[in-house]
Amino acid sequence: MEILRFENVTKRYGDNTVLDNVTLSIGAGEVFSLLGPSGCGKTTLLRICGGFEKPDSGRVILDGVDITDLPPNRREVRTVFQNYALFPHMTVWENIAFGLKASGVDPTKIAKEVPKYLDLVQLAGFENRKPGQLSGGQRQRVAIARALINRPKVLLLDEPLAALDLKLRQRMLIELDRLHDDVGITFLFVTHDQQEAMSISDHIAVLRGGHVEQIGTPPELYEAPKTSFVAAFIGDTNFFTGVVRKTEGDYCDLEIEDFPTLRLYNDKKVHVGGSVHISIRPEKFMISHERPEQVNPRTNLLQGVVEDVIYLGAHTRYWVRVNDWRVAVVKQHYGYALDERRITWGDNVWLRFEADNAYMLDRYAEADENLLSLPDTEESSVDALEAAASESNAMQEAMTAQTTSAQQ
Amino acid sequence: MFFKKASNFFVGLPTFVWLLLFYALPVLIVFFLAFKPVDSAGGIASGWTLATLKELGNPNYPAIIWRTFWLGIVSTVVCIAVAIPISYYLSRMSSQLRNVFLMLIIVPFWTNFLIRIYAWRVFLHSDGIFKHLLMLVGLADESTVLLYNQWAVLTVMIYTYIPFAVLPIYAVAEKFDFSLLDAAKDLGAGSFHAFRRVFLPGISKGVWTAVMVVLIPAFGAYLIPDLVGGPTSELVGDKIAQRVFVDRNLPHASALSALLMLAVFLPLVGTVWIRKLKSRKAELENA
Repeated sequence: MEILRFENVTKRYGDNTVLDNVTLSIGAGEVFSLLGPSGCGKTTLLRICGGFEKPDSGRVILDGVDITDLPPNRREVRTVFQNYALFPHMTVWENIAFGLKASGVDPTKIAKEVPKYLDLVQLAGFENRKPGQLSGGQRQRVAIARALINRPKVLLLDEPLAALDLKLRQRMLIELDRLHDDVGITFLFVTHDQQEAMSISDHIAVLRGGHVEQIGTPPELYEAPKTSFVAAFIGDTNFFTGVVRKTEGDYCDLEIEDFPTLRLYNDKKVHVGGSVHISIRPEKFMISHERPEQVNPRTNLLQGVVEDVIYLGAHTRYWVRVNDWRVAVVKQHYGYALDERRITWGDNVWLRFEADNAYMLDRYAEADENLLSLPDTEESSVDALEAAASESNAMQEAMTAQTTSAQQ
Repeated sequence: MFFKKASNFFVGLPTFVWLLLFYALPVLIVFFLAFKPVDSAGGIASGWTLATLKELGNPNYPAIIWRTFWLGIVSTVVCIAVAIPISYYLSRMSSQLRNVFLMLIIVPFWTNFLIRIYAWRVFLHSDGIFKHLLMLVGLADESTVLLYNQWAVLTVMIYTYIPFAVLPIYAVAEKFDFSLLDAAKDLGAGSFHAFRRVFLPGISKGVWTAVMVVLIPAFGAYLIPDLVGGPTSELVGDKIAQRVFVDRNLPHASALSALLMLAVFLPLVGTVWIRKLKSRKAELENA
């Protein structure tokens, strides 16, 4: 069931179109994320939903009611602001009670409700503290309790984890997930961090330059990205461009310049002679010293030389030169890595991948390649180093295996 | 450690000496003079007396003191009430527009205070523009006198002190986090509720500073009542000036000054003390 709908929402600041005809439907009780780089319009969309900005055109429908022209205080949505916006002169208790007091709820009822929400966010005993006496994570929990106490139909979260350090961010993600299960309120979550979005969301809308690039569940976005932007922004990938030379049932042979011909699943039903852009995730390649046994005609085998190795504990990233191409490969360490014969710089290796594991893109832009983590930029730029550091911190998480500094 | 403390001491020394010489000492002298007798030549005689304090029981004084207080308090309240919305809008303006308005508030300071009061005398004069305007809308007639009464004093006091109220409040409002107002509205508060419960407490420091900055000169005002007030609108300030310049009675002037000082100082100390008690209580509750 739908709880919130954006219909053809457009917003301009002068000549700058921040949101271009955005239409989104958010189901009741789900966690829906707006994901995109800064300037993609995600925060503007959230502020339009909260009533702090008016769209130039388009409607916002909350639970069947058009709320586009209602002031913020008359909408049944609540916001958790990026900087939390806790009232510094009020105690935790007063902050949480604010929403009830403002809507004129009976004091005895307030006295009953506030402790419930203090318990919910595990802040019982902190009610007399001022926000200045709390840690970042505690402040955030106050902000969430304060927003939830009026039982809004939708909770808007504006980059709620951005101000926290990495470990705390991961704990708060789990906490948010638990809260969501406890209260059953729809969450509209804005973030630029694809890991956050992937781990918490039921659905994600990837925004870019004011329009929706793709909407889908996290696996859909990861495995079946429609555009090169989505493919590169969520996780890491390899892009290839080629021409279809032969079709055979559901499969086709793709001729790529300076690269072995690949056998692929032809899910776009491209005819012979058609040009195709494909994305192949690094972990779809299996890397080995020995030539793998070819199991069937849909298995592609490539030969190459290892150019770069980044060992990350749970997995290792390789950059393998195949003819003129550098192919990013991720190898998961299933066995005890110390006992294995490690694949290292200069090794001749075999790459194997199945025809079904590539994905044909609807749209491709060469600029999106910049979102990928190529080894030469990785070693030179500070940003990339930080991203690599944050990756090694998150070694344990399987998701991290496929996602690197793409958020740069 | 020692050097740090020593350097702190030397850095603070000039300020300390300055305050001692030009602030603490004169205040003490004023209190002290109130207990000295006056000699026939207008100087200070030797010995001690309580006669001056008894003279404060002068039957004219209660009315004057009462007038000083209510004019001071009303002008402060009006100034603050006007300054809060001005500061709110100033701090939400674009920075260019804000600079223009700040200039407009500050520019009058560049004109001599006396000249500005004389300008008001022209405004409020029986043939002045204000009276004609009021007559036009039927709020005054030929016999109305706008000048030389306490309303003229109040008007000019408010005019004079508004910038003093705006500047400290604006200084705090400018640092106010306006996203808090968004948050308050988001939580269901109307604009007024958000303003009262979130904005006002947020700028309370500036408001208290403004109260002090306006109330103290308002209590001591003497030029304004002297120039636009009449004999029925004398304030304590006028009396002090009169005792010094006309009567050459410094002890009496000192006693009146001390009275004014205590009237401002005691409530101030009381407020600070109560606040301290409250915050200590809150700390104990949290511990």
